[in-house]
Amino acid sequence: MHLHAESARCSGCRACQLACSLHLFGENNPKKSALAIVPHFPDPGTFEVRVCTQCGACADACPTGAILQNEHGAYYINAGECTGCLTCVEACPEQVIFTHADREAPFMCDACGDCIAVCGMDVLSLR
Amino acid sequence: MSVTIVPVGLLQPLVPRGSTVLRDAAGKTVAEVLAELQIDSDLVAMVLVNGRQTPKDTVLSDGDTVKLIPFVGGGRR
Amino acid sequence: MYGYGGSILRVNLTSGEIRREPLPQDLARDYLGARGFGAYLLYREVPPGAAPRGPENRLYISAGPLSGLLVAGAGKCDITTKSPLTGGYAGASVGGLLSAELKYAGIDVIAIEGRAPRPTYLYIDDDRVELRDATAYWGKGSLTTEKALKEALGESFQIATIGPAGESGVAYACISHDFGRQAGRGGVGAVMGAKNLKAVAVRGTRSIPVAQLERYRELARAMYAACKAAPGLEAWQKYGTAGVTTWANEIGAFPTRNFRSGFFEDHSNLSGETMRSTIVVTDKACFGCPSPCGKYSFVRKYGVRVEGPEYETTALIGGNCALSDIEDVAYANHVCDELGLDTISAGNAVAFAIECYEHGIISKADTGGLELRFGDVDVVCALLRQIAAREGLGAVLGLGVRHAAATFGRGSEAFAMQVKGMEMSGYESRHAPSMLLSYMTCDVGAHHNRSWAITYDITRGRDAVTPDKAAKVIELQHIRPLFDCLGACRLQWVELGLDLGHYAPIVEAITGLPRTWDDLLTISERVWNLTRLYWFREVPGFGRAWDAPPPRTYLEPVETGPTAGKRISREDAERLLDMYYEQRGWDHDGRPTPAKLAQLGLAAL
Repeated sequence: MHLHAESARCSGCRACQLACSLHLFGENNPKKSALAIVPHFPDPGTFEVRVCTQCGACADACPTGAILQNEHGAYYINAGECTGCLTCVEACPEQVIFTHADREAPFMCDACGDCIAVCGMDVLSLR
Repeated sequence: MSVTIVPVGLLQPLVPRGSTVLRDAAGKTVAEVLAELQIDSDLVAMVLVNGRQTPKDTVLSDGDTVKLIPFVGGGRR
Repeated sequence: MYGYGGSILRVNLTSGEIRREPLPQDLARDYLGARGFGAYLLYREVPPGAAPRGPENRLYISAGPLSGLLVAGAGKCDITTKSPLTGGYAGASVGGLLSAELKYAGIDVIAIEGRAPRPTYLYIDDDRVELRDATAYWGKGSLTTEKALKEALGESFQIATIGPAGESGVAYACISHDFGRQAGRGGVGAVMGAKNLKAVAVRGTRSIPVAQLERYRELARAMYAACKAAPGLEAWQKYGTAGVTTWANEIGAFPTRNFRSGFFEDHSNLSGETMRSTIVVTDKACFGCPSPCGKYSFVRKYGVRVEGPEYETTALIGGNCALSDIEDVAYANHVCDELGLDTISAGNAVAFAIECYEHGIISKADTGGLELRFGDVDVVCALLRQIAAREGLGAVLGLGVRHAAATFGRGSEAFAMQVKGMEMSGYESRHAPSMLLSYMTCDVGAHHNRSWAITYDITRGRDAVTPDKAAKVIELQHIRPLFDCLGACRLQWVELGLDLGHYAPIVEAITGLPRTWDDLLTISERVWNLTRLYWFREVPGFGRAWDAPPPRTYLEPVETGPTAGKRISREDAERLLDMYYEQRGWDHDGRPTPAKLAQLGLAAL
């Protein structure tokens, strides 16, 4: 199961990012979310949504083996094993492994699906 | 050979079972159909015929689906 | 403080001093946020009689307790100042991502005073706050400036900026944000320009604390679920506010040719369906909004992109200037956005000038050789550019139609469509008494957002002038501006029918302060009375006469369309005011009585 986004439907409201940071950290903070909304304005005037495809490139790249799969098969970063080298951030082809000054370890989508419920435009789905 | 009327939200109670199929509505305008259903056409914010917004003087054809969108929280009641 | 950024950022542009103060708990308790903060701080801090364009006037950019949280439509920001257009209270609302970003930077209010010695912009990156040179951006359009600042600082910065109209001091210059959202009304952009402040750029990376996390998450999920289940969602998503253009014409409320008529013969060219099928490329939302009314368009004929036109622009630039091609309206919208002009006041000013020209009140000698006529996009855009530059006729028109009518005279006062100096927004109201009363009593001037009562007129009878209509206006004037205190949008309620019962519990869960819906409405009424007191304090002789409708509404019947022949009598307008004042607890001149002020905790003011 991985998150899928239909960018053309996105209206850029970022409710998904709040739902995400609430799930990951219990915090209201789009900068602590694991999906990216990239606006392209004023020209051409579109939103690009980037989500984790669970491709596993991060796990392959991690030098300490800190990136594991949960019971749904979604990758996650085991903060205890993470050295903060950010190799995974570099390796991610979708650029959806994120960092925040508050946290030593990077964070990523665990395919929980909380973002789907708050998207008014039905951009997101789990596949 | 009929027209389906689908009122939404506050307009729903005005039509039995939430939607209604009118057998003789083809050839009539939306406004005429609204009058027959005793719906105040001025309180219908948008009329969508087959998913496209149209004015209320639009003449209906067989097989059309007419969705009626009301104003809801703008001070109606 | 739960639910708040926690601070007021004070910026003195004259001295360059910048400091953060903790947000006073009493302020949050008694005035809630956003509009409430702005109204209170304006009343308390800006000295009586301050010149709107002077350094002693202040500009308050404020978020509310819901801004930036997981609440449907929690993307509204309030900008309050003393209005250069009206001389009274100005509170303008802007959507987009600004108020959310302020909260993430730990800020509830930016309070800006003084005047910078040179073009300046305010840079906020969490705790790093600086005044930076904006010489390179001065003179540039709003959209151009926003793009340039994002390129210089990064996409994650949210920008509020003025265009040339704000720099030149047009009395209805707006503050622009997010490539197409504006704090439009009352000339907030002119105040920014007078302060030599070109832009504000903000980025925040902090979390907003909430009091009852799990309850809040549960309520938020329920709120979004209700919006997504609303049967009207699809239609409102598809058309946005432009969806009501057809309806407004069908009921004869679409301002046409300077409000001479309520019906535009070419309205189908401007309909939501026409717009959607010809120019719209992207649905564009404010923060947290499940039902985006923003429609981002590509205007092929002109090769430009614009957010909109939304209903008000279609009404005032379209019908009111008689433009009958949606691409022309969208282009004029783009011109206004780049210049930094409020499309509502600008559309009024242009239509007013054209009508003056038709009556021979002004001539080619005044217009710089331009032949003014309705229905000509070149004329509209030429006037918009003159206005923004304050050149030619724009020098007069740029101060609003009240000023222009006083300058031109010769009976033009009768068709200057304004109340308190603010031009009327998009509902011809001669056959809608409660809507007209909404315009007469709105606390910024003739604007629809405080009370939109036209469907009540339809339900209760459009001829009826009855006390229940005044009661409805008062009720709406408490509900709708409450959203502006919360930092959230009212359209989920207005369009989708989201139950108002959703709001008090989530405010309570977020802030931790026990609140009922009635508690929140009391705050809204307090703010309403406070802005009224501000008018009395600032405008010499202020009172009942300032609540009079534009003379056209009682002197001339509507010319064409479904409401043709209708007008309201001056006596009926006065009766409406009597009913309204009495029910508000105001005296015959419209001044809040001591008893009302005591009831609202405003006796000390």
